[in-house]
Amino acid sequence: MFRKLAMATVLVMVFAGSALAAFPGRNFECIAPAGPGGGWDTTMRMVARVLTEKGIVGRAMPVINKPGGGGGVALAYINARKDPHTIAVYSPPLLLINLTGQTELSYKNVTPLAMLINDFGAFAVPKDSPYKNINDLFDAIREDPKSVKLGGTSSPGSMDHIQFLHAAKAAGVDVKGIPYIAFQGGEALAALLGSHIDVYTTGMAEVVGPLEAGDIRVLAITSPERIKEGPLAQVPTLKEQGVDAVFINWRGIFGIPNMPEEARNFMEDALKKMSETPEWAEICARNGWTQVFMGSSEFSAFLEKTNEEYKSLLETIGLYQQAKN
Amino acid sequence: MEANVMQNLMLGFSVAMKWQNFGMMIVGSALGTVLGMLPGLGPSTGIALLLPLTFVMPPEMALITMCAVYYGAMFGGSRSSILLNIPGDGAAVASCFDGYPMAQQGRAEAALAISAIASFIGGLISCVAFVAVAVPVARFALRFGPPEYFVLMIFALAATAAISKEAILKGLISMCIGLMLTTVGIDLQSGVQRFTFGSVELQSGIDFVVVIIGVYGLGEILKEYQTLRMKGEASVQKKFGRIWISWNDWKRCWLPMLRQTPIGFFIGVLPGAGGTIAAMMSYNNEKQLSRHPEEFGKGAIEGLAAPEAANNACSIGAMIPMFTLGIPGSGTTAVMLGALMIYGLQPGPLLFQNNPEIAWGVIASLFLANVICAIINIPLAGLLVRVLAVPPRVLYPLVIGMAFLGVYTINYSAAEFLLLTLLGLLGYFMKCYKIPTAPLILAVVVGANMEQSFRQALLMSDGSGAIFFRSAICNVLWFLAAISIAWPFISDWLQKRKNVARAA
Amino acid sequence: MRRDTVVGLFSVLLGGLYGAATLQIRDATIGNPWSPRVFPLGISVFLILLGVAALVVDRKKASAGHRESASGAKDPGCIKLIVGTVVLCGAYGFAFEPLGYILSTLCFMFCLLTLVNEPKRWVANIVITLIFTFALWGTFVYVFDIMLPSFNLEEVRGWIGGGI
Repeated sequence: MFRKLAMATVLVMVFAGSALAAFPGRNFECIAPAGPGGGWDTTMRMVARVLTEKGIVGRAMPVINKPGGGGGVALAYINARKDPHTIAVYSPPLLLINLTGQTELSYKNVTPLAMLINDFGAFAVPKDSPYKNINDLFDAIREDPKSVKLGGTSSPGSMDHIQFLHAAKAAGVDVKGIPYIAFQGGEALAALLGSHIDVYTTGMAEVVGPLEAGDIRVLAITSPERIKEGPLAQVPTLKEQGVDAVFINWRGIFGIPNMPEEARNFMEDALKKMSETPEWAEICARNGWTQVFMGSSEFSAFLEKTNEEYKSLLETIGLYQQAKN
Repeated sequence: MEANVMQNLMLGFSVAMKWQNFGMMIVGSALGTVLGMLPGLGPSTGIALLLPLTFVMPPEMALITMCAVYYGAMFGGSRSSILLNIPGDGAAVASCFDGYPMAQQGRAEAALAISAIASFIGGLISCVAFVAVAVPVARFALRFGPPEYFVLMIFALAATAAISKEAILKGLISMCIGLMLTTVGIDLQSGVQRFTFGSVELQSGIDFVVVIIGVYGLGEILKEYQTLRMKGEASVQKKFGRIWISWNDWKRCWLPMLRQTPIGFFIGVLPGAGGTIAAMMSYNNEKQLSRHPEEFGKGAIEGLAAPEAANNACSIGAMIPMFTLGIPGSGTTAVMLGALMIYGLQPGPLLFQNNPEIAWGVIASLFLANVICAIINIPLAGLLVRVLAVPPRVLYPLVIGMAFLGVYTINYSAAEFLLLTLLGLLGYFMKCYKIPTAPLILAVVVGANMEQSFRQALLMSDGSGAIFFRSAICNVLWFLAAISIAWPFISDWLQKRKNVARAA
Repeated sequence: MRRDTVVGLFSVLLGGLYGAATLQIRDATIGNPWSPRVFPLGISVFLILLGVAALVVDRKKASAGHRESASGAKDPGCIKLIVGTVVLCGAYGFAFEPLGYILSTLCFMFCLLTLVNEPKRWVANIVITLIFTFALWGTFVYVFDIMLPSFNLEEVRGWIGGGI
């Protein structure tokens, strides 16, 4: 028993030693926890592209798609990896799939390296809706929670659902009885345009087109400040309407659990350099992402705080679930 | 207004005919055809992989290339259906029903030709319809809410299960098995896991492409093993004729193509339905309208022409909600929408005002890509048809290998390999016990959406079932569903009466 | 046993098992707790009813002296082919990620061809295996830019039980 342990220790040290000798020592594996084409995939591909093209990393960074389980499949994969040359992109679902019991793995099973992008939510109603601003809507819910049909993309307890509840709770609304109807893909927007639902909670990018065309009205966005340009510049934030709430759809890069100190520092530094390039700024502008940078330790603290916030929201509506296993 | 449309269309053609754009269109069409042929790889994967192009190309060029790939994949999807009985994607399932029997009877040339011709005609008519009626049609499609979708899917399933009086029970059993497969995974409305048995891979459900490749492709090969060594080398086709159809074939097909195109087109405009439903519905519809329904499934050429015309019409129809309302009608258009956004272009009616060169350029490129695909596909078919010269004892292992690789690219994981094998066995036993597989396939395609529409509708009505009869659309669809179930009995009765009359 | 009898019995059994599994689904915490079970339960009941109907129709036909059409002639050796293919496919699934695409596909294709295309054509089998494996690998990696798994030491170690 002891001998086996000693052998293992030696092996680990040899491995760790060789890894420490020079990081990066080989090509990377960049995980997009979803199929090609979505937000996670695009972010991972863009990050890998700038990192290699600007020669910041000096190793190839092929992107590998590992969809499934709302990101849970990729999370299980990363958690089992021992090689620090593995990075992945994640956003709020990393916390949510754990809090709703889909996986027992959580943000503690990955090493946060850097937060790179912020995006915000939007609440839209049909153009002939009786609700003129966010407070009209919250008043109606206060009167009769069942009178307002809330729709969004993907299941209850997901980001779209949570961001609305977060705002409603901050406005002092009892969030328990609000019916939430889940759709897939573009169906939710179609349901809103056809007035089959009353409110659509989604990301900002999804509402710009129909807003510009005058098909919908956007009651509020969840950003801390107004958007500077484009059609969304007309839309007030929650704060402007007296609701003290901000909801950030953050996106960041993560490494394997217990990542060696040196590898973590290297990647944090590389990502910082990347976020300062004009190429990255242009990519963010093109995709409508708000560019931010938050380093590893600060990001960890942020995740801890955010996790508690989500948890208390999910507890209120009864969706919080300790994963079995 | 008329003059305006023509003027805009001319502007579009001038953009699409620029030599760089035209060249990319040819490359895209060819690449799309190849992608479409490989099982598992469909247009949405193809376009997603092309997204990086958007960084090196001007927007109209990138979009034209993507459209060409989309289009090529729709053309290519049916190649492997006809030659190998493995549909390249869901929309090509219905092409197996009569395409594969035709190839087995030595009429592969005619089958490949008619599928290209039908695709071309369906596409061309839809392009014209796109220009003429895009906006009003898209507005009408918005009236389809969850209850309407639910009844629409009931109709689609009823029509497929009730293929014949004898098989109606087995057809419905097959449908139930398909619906069961769709209930696996996290329930969209409640977040509860169902039938996942603790597996992370199963949380996102069973991809219908895996079911199609397993039940159809692998199941068929296992069934063919029964006679593999008995037939010897005799079944191999060694001589190939010209890829074209006879006058007689043409006479049988022109009407089916023309009448199934509008069905496909409208289903494409609905955001909740796709090419598979369009192809299946047009196949059923054609069978019911046909004067010799007994030939369907045994190599009836119109049984291939109808779904081919409809699924291409559907792929054009699916672009309407994307361009006019900013709503993606399918997975593929969702990825294209993403590409538009990367350029900071907002899809919607304003796209036609603010960026006419892009909106109309893309529409014009649809016309041209349609022609290019038809031209590429005829000589390509001459090459592909030689697949049939490979003896089955070599061909089958190769097809199995391709099927696995195709399945790998769905989720980039080998977790589905076991599932694929089990589904192959399921398909084998279904064929042995003469249970039709088509209702299972359609149920797998619509099942998840059907349950969700049902639940969404009940959430909207606070649990009252009256919502399923709330609109004229619902009632018409219920009526059509009832007719479909009753149709085999009605046509039987009509036939008998005719015979009695003749005897007298 | 008659074919349709088997189909009927199978439907009843499958419907029953599926129904039992449906009852194991957790209560929904949002909305009606029964909502995730309604649709599957409906399928289960419907399938059982269909199975019973199939059995009834079949009994009626059998007592009316109706004979089923014979299922075409079968090669008695086909069981070996079917079982062999299924086993190989399963093994391929387990080997694909740890061994990587190239190694596992070479083995899989060669074994499958040996089984279906007879061992005596081994030269052809080797050539086809090599062409198939590398041609598809080239197409995926270079044309479509899709990464295929490569030999993975970590996973192989986990796979053979972490012996070292």
